[in-house]
Amino acid sequence: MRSWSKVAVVGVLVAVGAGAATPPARGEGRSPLDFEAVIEHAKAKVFPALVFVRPVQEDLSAGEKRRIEVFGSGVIVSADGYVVTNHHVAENAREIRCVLADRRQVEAAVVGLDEPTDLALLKLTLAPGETLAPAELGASTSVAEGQFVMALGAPYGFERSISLGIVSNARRNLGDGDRRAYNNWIQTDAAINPGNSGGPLVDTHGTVIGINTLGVQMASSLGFAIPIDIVRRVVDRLRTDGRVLRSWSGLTLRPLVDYAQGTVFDGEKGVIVDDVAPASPAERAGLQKGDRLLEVAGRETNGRYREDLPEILWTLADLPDGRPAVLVVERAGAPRRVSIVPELCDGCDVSGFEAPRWGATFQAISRDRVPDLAFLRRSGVYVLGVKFPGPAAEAGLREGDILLSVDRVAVADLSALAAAYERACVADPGKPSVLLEVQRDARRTFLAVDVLPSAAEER
Amino acid sequence: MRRLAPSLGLAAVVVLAAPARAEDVAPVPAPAPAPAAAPDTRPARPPRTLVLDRVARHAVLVSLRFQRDLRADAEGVAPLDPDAPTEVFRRWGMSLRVPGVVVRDRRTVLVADLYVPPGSVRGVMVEPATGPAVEGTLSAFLPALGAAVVTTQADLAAEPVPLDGAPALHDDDRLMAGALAEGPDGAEAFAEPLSTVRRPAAGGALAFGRPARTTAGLGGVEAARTIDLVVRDDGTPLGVRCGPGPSPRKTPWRGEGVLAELARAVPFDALGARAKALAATSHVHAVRLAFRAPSPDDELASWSAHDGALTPEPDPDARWWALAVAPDLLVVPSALPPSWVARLVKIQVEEREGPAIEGRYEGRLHDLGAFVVRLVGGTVDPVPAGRPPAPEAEHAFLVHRVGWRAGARRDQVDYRRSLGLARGYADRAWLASETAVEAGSFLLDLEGRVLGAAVELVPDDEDAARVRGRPDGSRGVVAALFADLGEPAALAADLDRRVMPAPARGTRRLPWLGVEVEPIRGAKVADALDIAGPTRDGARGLLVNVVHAGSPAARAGLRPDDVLLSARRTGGTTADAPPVDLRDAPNAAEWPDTSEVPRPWAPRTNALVRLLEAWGEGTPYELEVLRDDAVLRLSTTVELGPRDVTTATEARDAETGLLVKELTYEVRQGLKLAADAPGVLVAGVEDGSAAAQARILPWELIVEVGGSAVDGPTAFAEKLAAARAAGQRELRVVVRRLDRTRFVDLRIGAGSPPK
Repeated sequence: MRSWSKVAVVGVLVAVGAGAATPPARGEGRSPLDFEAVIEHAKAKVFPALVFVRPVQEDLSAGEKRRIEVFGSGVIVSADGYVVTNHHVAENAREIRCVLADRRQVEAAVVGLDEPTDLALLKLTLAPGETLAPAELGASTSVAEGQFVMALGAPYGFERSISLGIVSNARRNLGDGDRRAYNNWIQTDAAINPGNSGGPLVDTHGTVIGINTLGVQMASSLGFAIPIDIVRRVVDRLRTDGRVLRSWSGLTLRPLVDYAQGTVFDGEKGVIVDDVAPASPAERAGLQKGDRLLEVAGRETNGRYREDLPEILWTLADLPDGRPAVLVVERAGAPRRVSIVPELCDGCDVSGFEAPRWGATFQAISRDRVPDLAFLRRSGVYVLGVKFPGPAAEAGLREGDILLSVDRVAVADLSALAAAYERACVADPGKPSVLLEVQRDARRTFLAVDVLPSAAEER
Repeated sequence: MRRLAPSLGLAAVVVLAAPARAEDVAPVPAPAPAPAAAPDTRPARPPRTLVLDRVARHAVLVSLRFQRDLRADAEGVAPLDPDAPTEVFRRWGMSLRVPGVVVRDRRTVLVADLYVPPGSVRGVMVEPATGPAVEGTLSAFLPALGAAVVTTQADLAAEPVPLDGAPALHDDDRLMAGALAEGPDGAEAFAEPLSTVRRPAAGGALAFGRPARTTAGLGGVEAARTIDLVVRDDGTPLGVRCGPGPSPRKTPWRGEGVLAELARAVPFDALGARAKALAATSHVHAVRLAFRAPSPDDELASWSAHDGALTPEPDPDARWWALAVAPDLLVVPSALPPSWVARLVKIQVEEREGPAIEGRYEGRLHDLGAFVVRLVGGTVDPVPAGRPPAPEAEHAFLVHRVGWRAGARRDQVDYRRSLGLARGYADRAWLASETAVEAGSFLLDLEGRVLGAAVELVPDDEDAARVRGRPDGSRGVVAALFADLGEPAALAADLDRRVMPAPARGTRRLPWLGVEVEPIRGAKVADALDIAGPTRDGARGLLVNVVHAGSPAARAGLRPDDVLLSARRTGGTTADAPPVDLRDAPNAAEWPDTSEVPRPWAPRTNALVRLLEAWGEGTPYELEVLRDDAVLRLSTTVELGPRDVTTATEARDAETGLLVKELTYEVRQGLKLAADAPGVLVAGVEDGSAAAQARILPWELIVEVGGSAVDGPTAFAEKLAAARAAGQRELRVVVRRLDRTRFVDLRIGAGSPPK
């Protein structure tokens, strides 16, 4: 590192000697005299706010309720102990233990979760009057490709680790999949590994510019962080409401120029409607695929490239639900105004249902989670997991089966299922098996699942 | 290994008494009751010598000298069991000595059945206890007593057993069974007591000896096969014992019965004559099977899961022998490995005169290594209807084997003896036979009526088949009898059609009823649905999910939630067939290949469709349907169904790499599309093509091309052609996956303008 300093010194000296009009060095006039010192200073600012997050999650995917220990990272954002981390770290957590930078173990509780942005807000359980040193949050506008960044966190459980890299791309779009459609991402080559999730991405000033969230398993040096502006937006709402309220209109959008999908639409304005979901506010408002969306509630929605879409999605999601909003669309060259009444997007965090005496777990059908099942049956209950070995597995029940009825009584949602389970297992202890009607693809069949005696539930 | 000679050491070794004399021995009067002082109140026993004298007077030893069966060798008939003792004797030209009993006259000797082809016996010598040996021949076998007849060329020194006027038998009579055997000093008479072993027989009487040991299957039995003279302990001869034990009712071992049997003896020559007759008049036809060349898929299928051995290749010149059970149905009692069935391309039934008749593979008999061929190009004379009763224990039956050698048919008739019925193997009663019968033979009674065939037991349940570890899953040879299976013509009603010859590419339109069904899954489900009775505890039953509009099912009045129980042909050449239970494997309606895009429609070939296909278009039939606790009978006819995804019209576009098909009825129903909704189904996307690069996946739909809806494959091809003609290099299409659409700009290439 000493050679770096020499170069830096030389560079400055040369610049001063030449008297040329050198553009101001990065860092608001602070000259990069000593790189190590810069790093050290940045680290010192953020380290005290770094948290090693160790939740115990409840998982239903294997057909039974399992408790899984996971770990991730978080960053303290307020003196009274609010911690930002990822949704996939804190989801379904029954208890969360955190280890602070000074090696203190503190319990934490979930304040709010937002799955579409993969963010979560926790609150540490502190002694009354105790305060912590929060990290300073930066601004996304100043993030540029090439700048040095550090990723702090606990990769593979090695807490209080720092990795160094640069911003590889400041505005990476990762498509419209789960948990990644509502923002563009900061791509970095600072090492981001499992365990870094939820930790801060820090610039050379020691301000947090992103929350590390994703990495590419097969690759090295490909990591992605959520920009801090999005984090602020979400955290503010989580702090007040415990969730981010979004409304749903049923539109799937496509940018004008989409190299990934290979479509190019003319013009500079607007964004293309790719699909209108059946029985959605957009369908009821008369919108069709191919319409060019120009304005939403008075705001222009210009989506030339994929990177422009997240902001438009926020605009649509921020429409107040239940109240008509005006969209301006262009169809066949002619603009028209359309009134749409968005619905509240619900079904965000349903925890599922475990039927231990059948050996299976169930979840509610939603178009976001299981679009293929939602096509078969718009709402209802499906099998999340089947325990093997177990009575449901033996009867032929499979993951992805849609449950239509239990003992000939229709099941429309999880609470109806819970009631049916209660009836089947508790009300009639002598009955050896329960009759499930399931739908698999387009076929409807009956299965007889043995009911295990209740002693089997004791664990 | 069968014991052909009695083992020595069973009874005490006795010295021969004075030479037997020719006069009959009168029964010794019963001794006076014992004095009261004696604790044993039974009459004193007569000396054993009375019995042995009797035996020595009538028993002989019969020597058979074997030769290679030149006639059989010439005909290439392979021995059934190369390690059987008689086979060994034959091969080495050895001789065998067995006991015999002189009956009826001084030139007739009874020996136990030997099951050697008469042509392999070079010479027979009969040796009495005293006196010279006399030459003889194996001349006949008895139909209901397990003995064969040797006729000598000169009178024997031994006397015939006086069997007429046999005395009454009392329950506490002591019986002995004796014969001559080889002793260290020459032939010796010996006898062992029978009456120590008693068992109850029908009618309250007592029978003597061990009960018949029947084992399931037509294979080697370890019962001792010998002939004994049965004598009461006072020397009175009662009869002969050939089978496992004398019974007052079952076998004619008593004196008058033996003589009656002798009168009915069947000469061995008659077997040859019968074979000749059958060659001309039997209902057994030669079937030739043609198979296509194996493909890599077949190789995998033909590896046996049991011992990793490759199923051998079929012989194109082989003839298979089939019994005509109906004018258009033949049963071939041979097992066909499933990999061969899948490669079947042609079946021809050869006739003695006239051209061959074309046939079609119908299916396999359940649990048996036998298959059924339906004639499509003509008819033959079937066996007469009727179910002759299975032969009782110890009764002889005929085995008719047909072979093919040097371009000609060879019929051979042999006889075997029944051991009665045995239960086992799929809980049915099978005929047990004393010695091995080759699978593929036909079984006849002595009058020539066809009883059934000897087939291998190949269980439907493959796991059970693996238990015995035989590569073809066979669990031994059993007799499939019409007495048990039912009317011969009804055999083809309920067949296992899970493995069928692969159809010719794309041309076959399947018949349909017009329903989407799911099988009832077992007894617990049937019970919970309260349909256990009609579905026989879930063993049959197809639950109707969907009734397609305009289908035979709709016209017959079927509704969703009906349960189809059975179907019965009401017309056609075999119209009086019994109803066929409708059932299917639980996951039969799943696609064998995986696909990223879901396919919410089921394959068209299921058990119901295969049954309708077997019956043929136009066959009227009746469905037994369960609806709300009532059983209905609905009549309909087999109709060809509309085109489905395998026979849909299609269009292929080389430039884009797309294969598209029309949306057929089952696809529309699964995707919830109206009958007139536009679109084509993407059935194939070539790797690396423009469509693949545009991320179009198989089983998605293309609903719009160039801004307008596309009706079908022809319209699709036309739109592409028109766009190319107009010089467009790209077309915007709308792709739909389930209920989501997206735009895709598809490169259609320059193409050349249409001429």
